[in-house]
Amino acid sequence: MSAPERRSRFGGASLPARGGAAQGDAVTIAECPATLIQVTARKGRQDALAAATLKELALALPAPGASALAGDCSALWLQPGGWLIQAPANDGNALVRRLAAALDGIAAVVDQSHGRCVLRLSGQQARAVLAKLCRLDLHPRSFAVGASATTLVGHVACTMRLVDETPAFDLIVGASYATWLLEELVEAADAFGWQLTRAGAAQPA
Amino acid sequence: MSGRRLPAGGHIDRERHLSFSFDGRRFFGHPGDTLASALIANGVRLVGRSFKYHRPRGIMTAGPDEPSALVELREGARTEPNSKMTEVALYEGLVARSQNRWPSLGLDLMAVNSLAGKLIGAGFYYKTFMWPKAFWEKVYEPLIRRAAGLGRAVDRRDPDHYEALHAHCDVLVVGSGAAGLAAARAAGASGARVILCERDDLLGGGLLLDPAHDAWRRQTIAALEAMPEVEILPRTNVFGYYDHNLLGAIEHAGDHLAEPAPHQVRQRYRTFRATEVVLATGASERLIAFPGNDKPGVMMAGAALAYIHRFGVAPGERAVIFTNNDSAYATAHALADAQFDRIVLADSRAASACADDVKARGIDVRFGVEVAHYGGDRVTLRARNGASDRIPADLLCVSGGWNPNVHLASQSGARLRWHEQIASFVPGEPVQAERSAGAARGVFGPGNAARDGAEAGAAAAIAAGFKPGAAFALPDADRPETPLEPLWEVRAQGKAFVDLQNDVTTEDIRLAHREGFSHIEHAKRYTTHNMATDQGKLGGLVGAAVLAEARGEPLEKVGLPTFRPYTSPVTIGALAGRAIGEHFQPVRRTSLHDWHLRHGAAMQPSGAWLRPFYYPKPGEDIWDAIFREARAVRGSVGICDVSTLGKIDLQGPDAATFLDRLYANAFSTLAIGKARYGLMLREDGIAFDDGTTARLGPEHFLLTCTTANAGPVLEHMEFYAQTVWPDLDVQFSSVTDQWAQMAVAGPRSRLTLQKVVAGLDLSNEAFPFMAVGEATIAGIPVRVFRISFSGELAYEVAAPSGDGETVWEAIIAAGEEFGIAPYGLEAMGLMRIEKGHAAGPELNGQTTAADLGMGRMVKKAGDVVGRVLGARPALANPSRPRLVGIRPTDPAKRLRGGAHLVSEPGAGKSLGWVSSVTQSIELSQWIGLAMLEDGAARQGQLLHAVSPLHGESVEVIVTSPHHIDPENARVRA
Amino acid sequence: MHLIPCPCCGPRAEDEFHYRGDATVKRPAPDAGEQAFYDFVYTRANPRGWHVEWWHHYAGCRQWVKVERNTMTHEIRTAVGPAEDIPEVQV
Ligand SMILES: [Zn+2]
Repeated sequence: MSAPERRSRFGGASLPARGGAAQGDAVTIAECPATLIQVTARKGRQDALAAATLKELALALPAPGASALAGDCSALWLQPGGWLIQAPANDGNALVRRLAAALDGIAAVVDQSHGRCVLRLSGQQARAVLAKLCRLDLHPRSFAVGASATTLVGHVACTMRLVDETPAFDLIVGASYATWLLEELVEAADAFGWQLTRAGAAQPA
Repeated sequence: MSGRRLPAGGHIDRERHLSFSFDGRRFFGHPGDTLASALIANGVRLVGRSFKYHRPRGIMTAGPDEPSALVELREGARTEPNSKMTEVALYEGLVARSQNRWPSLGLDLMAVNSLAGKLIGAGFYYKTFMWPKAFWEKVYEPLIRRAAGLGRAVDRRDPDHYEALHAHCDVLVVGSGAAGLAAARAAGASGARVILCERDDLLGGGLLLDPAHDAWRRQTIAALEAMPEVEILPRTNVFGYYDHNLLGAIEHAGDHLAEPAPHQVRQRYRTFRATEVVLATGASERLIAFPGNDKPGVMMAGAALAYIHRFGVAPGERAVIFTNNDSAYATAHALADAQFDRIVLADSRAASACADDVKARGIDVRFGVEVAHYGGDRVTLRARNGASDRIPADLLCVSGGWNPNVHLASQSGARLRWHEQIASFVPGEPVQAERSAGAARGVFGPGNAARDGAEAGAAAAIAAGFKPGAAFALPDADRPETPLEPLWEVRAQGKAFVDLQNDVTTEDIRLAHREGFSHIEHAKRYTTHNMATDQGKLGGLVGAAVLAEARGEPLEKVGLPTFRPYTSPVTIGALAGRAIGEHFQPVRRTSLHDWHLRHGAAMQPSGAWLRPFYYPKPGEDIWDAIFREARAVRGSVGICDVSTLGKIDLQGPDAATFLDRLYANAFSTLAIGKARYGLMLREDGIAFDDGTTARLGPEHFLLTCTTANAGPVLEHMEFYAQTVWPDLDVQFSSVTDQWAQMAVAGPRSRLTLQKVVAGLDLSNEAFPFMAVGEATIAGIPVRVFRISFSGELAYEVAAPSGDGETVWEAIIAAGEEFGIAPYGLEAMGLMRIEKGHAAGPELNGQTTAADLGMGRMVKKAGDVVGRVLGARPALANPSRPRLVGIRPTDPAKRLRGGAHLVSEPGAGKSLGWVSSVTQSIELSQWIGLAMLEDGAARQGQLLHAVSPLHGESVEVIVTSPHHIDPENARVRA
Repeated sequence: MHLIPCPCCGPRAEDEFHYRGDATVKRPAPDAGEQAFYDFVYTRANPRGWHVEWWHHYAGCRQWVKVERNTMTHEIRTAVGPAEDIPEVQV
């Protein structure tokens, strides 16, 4: 049985489906519901954590600044000993319980599926939009496909990942900031044009 | 009328005509003109009045150094004062007005100031407008602002948009003259990421003034445009060089248009984080101080060259060129090209190698002469032997040499070095990863500068980790020059200006020295030399030279005032960017935000959060709504969104130990499935934060903290976990946004929840006060906490935030039969004051646990944050202000937050202050919480709450802070 | 705007960090007495030149980063993790 469908955290923004310059090179902003699980290794158990996630999810936990992919799951480095695991939304609590059992005594497992919101920004001008909101160097030479970073976007902390060379960026932000970030992205994309798509429109690459 | 459009030449589009207006008169120009060049082409000579003396002024430069030709540009809300005509690109329909004249430019009544000039010398304002003090605001300031000052700002909302943009590169090149173009090409050829900024709308800098170099300019630009990693930014003025190679700039994206195109910004604030920087910022020509050097008709020699070759405009008919260096000889050629009637070149030196070429064109070259006076139509030349000659001239071109534009280099931290040959300062040893090239470091001439730039660009790319690219063609080498001979001032009768924008004369500088303001920084402030929009670019060094002479010291020793950002004016709008209105700062919304809006909540910012203040019904005022909501809770049941509370998930074998050290009270003794109130102290012993912490498992806790301190508490915990006790095995993270949390409070809260909660026995026996359990509501897994902030029987329900609204609505449906009411922050505040719970106004960074009546909670031993310093005698003193309740003895009187408590009206000594007030629904009168000296001992005493701001004094009785239910029976019911 | 070399995240703009003061003071043992705690909380050297400071990377890896910064020039020489020591520099 799949979990009941969650409400969108875009609710607070009464935005139309598209806007900004009409003949521009429009970017797409999609809300991507996902299961998000924060895992933090117990003292001295990083190796055990890496081995267990490899076994459970076939995910090799990435080094700082990187991400890892396996099937429809991905992992992002968050902090020393800490990662964020992203999985399809309908796995819901089942995956949290499975991981909590598998990582018992190895890591703290915390469900953040509702605590964070994934926005995918894609289109030729995605870097130009982010350059207005973020001080990180996102040139392909510095931030290649698969790179990840937690940084400020629109003045709020976001964990960012370059998904593909479209380019498409996943921005993982505290759920209470989702509407704010969306409005910032839309404002920054005004000169190019933008369109919003709803849940499930984009899958992890 | 002496200026005119030349039949050919210039980087303008002669096919198209643009109409514009200046002071209400209609004129025509061409695309490629500036307002200045178009006005000169139309014969306009007088364009403004000076700051202090209201002297007539003309156009002196062709760029950002312009001190005089300032206008108010555009109309209505788009009006922009103090725009330099020399930087305003012409567009169809441009409207500009001269400023600082009254009532009109031709007839300026304030010009009488000029006659009184002796009275308003340096420091005049400081000396005159001192007494009486009361006169300053009402009399002096408006008078000064009317008489002096620059343009007027507009107080209407700017209709245009601005934005910020952050860029990164391997090599940033500032300036696109010969040096900048060559530097960008050399760096680009290496494969480095290069950004080239040019303040002008055309690339080329000085190359634009020499038709012979136009082919190389075009080739180089084409080569740069073909490089994918080179970005060229015209109209981008770099205004500041900051730490760690961060530079700031304004891109004038839409300033050359009447209005920006739809969805486009007027200006863009740009930052560049560059691995290496090449400063190819060129040089500014400097003025020579002589009487009349501010008259309309005086123009920098390089500017005259620019008007002829850049804009196809001749700025006069009969010209004198006054120089101490070779660069002005190019101007002589240009004037000859422009068919001037008469050209006299007055060179203060004895000879120049350039003279023969100029003489061959029929130009009258005189050596060893100086300009002793200019009257606007006649130049007085004075020879070394004292002989003088008066020559009619409507144009007087001046060149006192060239000052490298060292502003950015100096801001970067590099000390300036005196360069004897050019008699100016050049950048010394770099401090940051930067290098100057070309005229910016005293290497003049397009051939020399291009070579210098190419070397700098290649070196920068290598320093950034790249291999040099292929070589490319450079302009021909320059001919050797005859050295400049420094000439700062011609001493003669009359006002000689060193700063035209601020009307500072050589005499003012000497006066400053005589009055003791001899340091260059003091002289600057005393005379206002070097200030305002041109930052004294024309005469800054001249003023310093005059000061040096007065001090009897070398100019090198006197130096220049510190260069600070901004190198030229920047609008506040550009710096604000899009961070205005609703985009000013981040806003947090709970998952129930939409529900609140749909149900008419008055939302209130609370830190970054938006929270429901109250939910007014039709016809209700604010207090009606608050009372109704609070009565629902006290009488039946209410529900409140408390999702904003900070929530921290804490796990690990040492989690309990960590909490024992972090909180003033113990947590290791807390049973699983129970919650406990906790008080956190700062290391200095002052109360920091409070909240309820639940134990979910042997090694698993959930902390809550106040909305305001959610961030600081997490950071505080990270400090101790990472740096003080790194041996403790704990893991924690914020789960604030993961959970929607709702308080369900009131005597019928249990009945309400029992209808919807599945899988948890909520009876008082099975689920007593401070119990914690898991259940489901509407099929959604939730956590239930039996905790109370209102003082009533109450629960808090936490649901995954994406399901928050479903759970919230299910509870409301269940409570319908009991009249459940959503309540906001105000009703919550009312009830917590009735109950006597401390909150923000009491946890104000000054109060200890004992002050708040929680002294007994604090552990007396062990490793506890704040224990040692909290035990200091002064903090333990029982006479410190303690938390008490107060009520007016007359129930009809109101209380005011912030009032002081005194023993009797008029008593000078404050015994404490009123921290929180409300109208109690249970006691039907105003009540308050207060911090009162010896509070515990004063229960029952009568005091007075005085608010001098309101002229109020109210007699109050001191009570327990627990205005209701001091036995705490209700929460256990 | 400084560029702070976070040992975890690499060079990051200063606005991702909260400045948290002197990192040379060490919290005393719990029984070290009032004076020791007083010094830990209040006593600061305020040097002109090189100084070791806490910069909390709140919008990044959330580590308390120890940064050696020159208070005169703003030059940053070293940055290490919260439990590490800044290596001694041979002058
Ligand atoms: Zn970091």
